[in-house]
Amino acid sequence: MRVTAPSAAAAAEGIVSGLPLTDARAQHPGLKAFPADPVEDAKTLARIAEWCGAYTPWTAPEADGEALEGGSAGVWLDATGCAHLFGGEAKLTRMLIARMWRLGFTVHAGLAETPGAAWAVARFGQIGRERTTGRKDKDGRIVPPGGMRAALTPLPVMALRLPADVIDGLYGLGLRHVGDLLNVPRGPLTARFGEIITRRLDQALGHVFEPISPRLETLPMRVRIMPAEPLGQSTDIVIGLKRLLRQLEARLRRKHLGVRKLVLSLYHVDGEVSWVSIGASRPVRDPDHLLRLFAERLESLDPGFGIEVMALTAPVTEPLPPEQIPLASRRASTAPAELSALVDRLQNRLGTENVMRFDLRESHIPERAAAPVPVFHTGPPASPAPSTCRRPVRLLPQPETIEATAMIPDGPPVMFRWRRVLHRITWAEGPERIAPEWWLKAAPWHAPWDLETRDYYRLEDMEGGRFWVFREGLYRMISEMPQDPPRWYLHGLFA
Amino acid sequence: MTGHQRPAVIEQLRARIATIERMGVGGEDEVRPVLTFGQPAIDMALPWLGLPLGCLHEIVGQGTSGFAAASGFTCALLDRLGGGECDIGDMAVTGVTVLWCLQAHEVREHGVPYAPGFAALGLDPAHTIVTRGRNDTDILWAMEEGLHTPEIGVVIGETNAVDFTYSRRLQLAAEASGVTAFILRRGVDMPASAAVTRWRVVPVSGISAGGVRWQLVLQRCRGGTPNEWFVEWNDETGNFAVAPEFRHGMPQPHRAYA
Repeated sequence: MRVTAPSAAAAAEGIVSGLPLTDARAQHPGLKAFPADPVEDAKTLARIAEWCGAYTPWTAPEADGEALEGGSAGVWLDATGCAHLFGGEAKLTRMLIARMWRLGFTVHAGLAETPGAAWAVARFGQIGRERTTGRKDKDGRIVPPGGMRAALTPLPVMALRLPADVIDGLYGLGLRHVGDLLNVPRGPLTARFGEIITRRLDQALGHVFEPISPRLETLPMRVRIMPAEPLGQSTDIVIGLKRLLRQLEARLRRKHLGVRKLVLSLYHVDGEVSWVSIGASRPVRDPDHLLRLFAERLESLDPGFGIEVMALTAPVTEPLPPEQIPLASRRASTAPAELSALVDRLQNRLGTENVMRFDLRESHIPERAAAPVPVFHTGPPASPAPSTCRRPVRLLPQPETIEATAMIPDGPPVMFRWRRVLHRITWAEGPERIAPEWWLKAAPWHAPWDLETRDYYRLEDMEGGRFWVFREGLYRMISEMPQDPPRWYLHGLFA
Repeated sequence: MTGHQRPAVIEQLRARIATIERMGVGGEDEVRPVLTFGQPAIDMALPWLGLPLGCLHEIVGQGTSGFAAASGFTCALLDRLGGGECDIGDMAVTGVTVLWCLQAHEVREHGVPYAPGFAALGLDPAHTIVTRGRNDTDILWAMEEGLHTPEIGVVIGETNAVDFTYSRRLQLAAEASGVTAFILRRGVDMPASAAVTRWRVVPVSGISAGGVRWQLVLQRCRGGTPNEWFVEWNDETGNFAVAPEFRHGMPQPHRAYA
């Protein structure tokens, strides 16, 4: 077992990562060791990246390979265009460090024009040598614009995110600092170590663009507010949400867009992030309507210790032309708006899949003749099957097995037992023979009755109940299949 | 308060009570849109000369077949509403949007409304929004939301959990917006309700075999008397027909396979 991540105090005592645990214990018998858990570490890192979303929409936890051997992992933040909201880069950095400190994390922050340079100064920066606590490191390490070369020159070569064997090789050559590398010709370096050194140098100095994937897609339609005090009451959240919705509406209106999906992210004081998302059946930007959709969800929300930042993101937007205020007829324009507001409310409470409309389809198979579609679905015009036969008013979700007795083998039943009740048939009509759609392949999930021809009968029992039953499969000679009497199912009920 | 003001106050109070109870027999001054059965025998028996719109009605069906009959009867009523034979202005011309609220576990028992089936009875699937709720609370909430939306013409809810308080609530919402509400319920332990009418639908064998024929029992009717009829529904013409009383009770069913 080896030490992977020594604490600042342990590092000061000379315990470095990679040291066998027994050696470390021999040096300091009182050393406390905890098993490393890279999976949990990655999760925590992802949560920190999540939480940093309160400050900038573009965040990403550092990928596995990027961390130095034994070094601590980090989180990338793209603060472009965000720093001024917090009073400048220095203040933003200081604030982030202080907040993380309060959450119990020791962090170092570096800020530069390129990810490479930021990474380097965060870990090896000269500005504050005190690396024991975040508090002493208050100012962070900020590289002024264009100052990458100067900032990197005194740093050790480790600051370039190089693999361990390359670093060993460089040490062997006596190249210990980035400044040394800047002065050597590139050709021999590349010939010896591959292109990694020159690539990292160029990335750090900004000669080459370094793409990093953000954790979440950054969306242009995003608004956020940071109240002066953390919000602890749900009424405050509603007020904040109203402001956000108004801001968003203004932006959507300018771009002639409406939202189909909206995510409210709440950044809690204690580092938690919670989300509430809503969907709309048609593009909307009316703040009142959207607020009503959120209202249902906000009730169940627990503000916890308080919410310090609220952000509203619109992942799905669609064009919505500016509405014209009607002069003469109110009727024509208001009709769909109210209805879609109702459908949205229903969908947000009951679930999207539970609000539907049935489209008649051109199929003789009863289950396929009516297809559930979203309420405002506009597909090809409905083309109902040209059936002259009656259809039941209610259809069971699954055909149910019945025990039926028929007078003649391929005739209608004279009585059947369904749900333990015996029905004596007084009238029958049929069969209506419905064959499976041969152009559709049989799939393993198909029920047996899907693959067989069905003979449907309309039956009426002595009490007046009217049923729709079918026999599965064509009638086969009894002598052929004595052990296998035909199976009957009840499928629907007539009015 | 002086003596001579008192009659005026009493008049005012009477007017208020009349407004509150405007669904009663009185209120000839107010013309309420109604849905007519097209059969004088039924229409004349109702105090409003038809089924009043903007009210809560209960339709009861006992057992699975009875429930299917109740659903069918509701669809048939809506066909008459969409058919334009009711005086609700230009609403009938545009087609009535229906919100049909189902309950997930009742669906397993009674099946789902089947579009080709109710389309044949006269309810346009394109104008029928079907929702599925997990429990009665969801159904009642969805019904109330529908009743507050004037674009919805009719709300149908399948639930048994409507007590007097909630039915009163639905009734008031329906009165306020003019949306008509139907509650489809199984006929078990029915508490008092504020619904204007309660119908029980019993499927009976038709004269012509396989025809749609029901025994309609008007169990409760505010300001009216209970009554019952045998009706046949003709989905070709969209008309009810009152069957004459049979001299010897129920007609004997055809014994096709006796």
